Amino acid sequence: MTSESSEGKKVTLKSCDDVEFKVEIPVASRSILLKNMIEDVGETDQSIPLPNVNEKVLKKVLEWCQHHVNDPQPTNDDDDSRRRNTEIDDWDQRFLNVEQDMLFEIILAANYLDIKPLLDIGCKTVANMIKGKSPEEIRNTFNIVNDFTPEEEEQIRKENEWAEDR
Amino acid sequence: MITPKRCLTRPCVNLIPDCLLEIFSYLKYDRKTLFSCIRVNRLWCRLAIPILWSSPFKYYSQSYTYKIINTYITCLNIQDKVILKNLGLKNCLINMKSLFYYPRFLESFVIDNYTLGLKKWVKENFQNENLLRAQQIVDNMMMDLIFNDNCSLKKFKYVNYIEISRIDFL
Repeated sequence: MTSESSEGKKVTLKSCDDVEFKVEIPVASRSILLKNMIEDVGETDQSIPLPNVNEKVLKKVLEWCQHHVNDPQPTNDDDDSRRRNTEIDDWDQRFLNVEQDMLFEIILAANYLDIKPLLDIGCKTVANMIKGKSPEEIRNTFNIVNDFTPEEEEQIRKENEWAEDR
Repeated sequence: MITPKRCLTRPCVNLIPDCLLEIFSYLKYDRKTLFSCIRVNRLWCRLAIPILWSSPFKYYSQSYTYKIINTYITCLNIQDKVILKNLGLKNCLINMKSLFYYPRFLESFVIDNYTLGLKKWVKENFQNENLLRAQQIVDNMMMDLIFNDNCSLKKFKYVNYIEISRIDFL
């Protein structure tokens, strides 16, 4: 799956729970954070510590990077139309068919590691989970505590009631 | 008492605000879902309100566009509210103080839909013989709310329908 020029070149990533992963550079470079680090540091035997990502999540994220190693790098063009599209391809859908905690950890890791396409599909997946739900259903789904006072809740409903109507 | 298993396995990872904002951005044009999001808790409210209010006049609806004006009016300063009261404003909006300064979030403004909403709002809220004058005054106040130093506007849409032609202050 790697390109000819960088075949065999690897970098070692270390999860926050001290597990090391030897990863081909094009795979690791799906992460803009790692790509920049690798470019800055050059070839090194030292492992790159990732204090915000544990072994389980890093393994999963690297699985995604491996599968998408040959994808073009994303551009910032057409941001608005990209956000209107909430479709996710089949492989990615299966990949994200995980427990909710894992889904959130993948999103957090993608955000930290700066892997925009992975962040996008993670966020799209959660957006699709939220779609059409009531506030109470959302709180139950994501285990969120309602910290509004009844007065605040009523005022917010009133100030935004236009959004409720058909 | 035995705790049900589902309680033990309830999710415990929290998304950071940056990620929540990303998620809400996919719901930008789904106002009904955003209406749910803003009522989940304070954090969700604070993050989703600017998205909900970024283009409230994108579509026109007989049933809701005029209600947007209601909320903007609560953001007026007290002097303007008193002027409206003296002009014959019916309801108790002048005593209300909004939780957010909503005009600040407006990024895209469709003046034709706004104008239709404004006309309906004035018609429904003023006990006044001279509705046109009330409309002009409310309109001026709304323009001052929307177009000022704190303005976030990125897009201004104007369609020249003859009966609601409004090129005067462009």
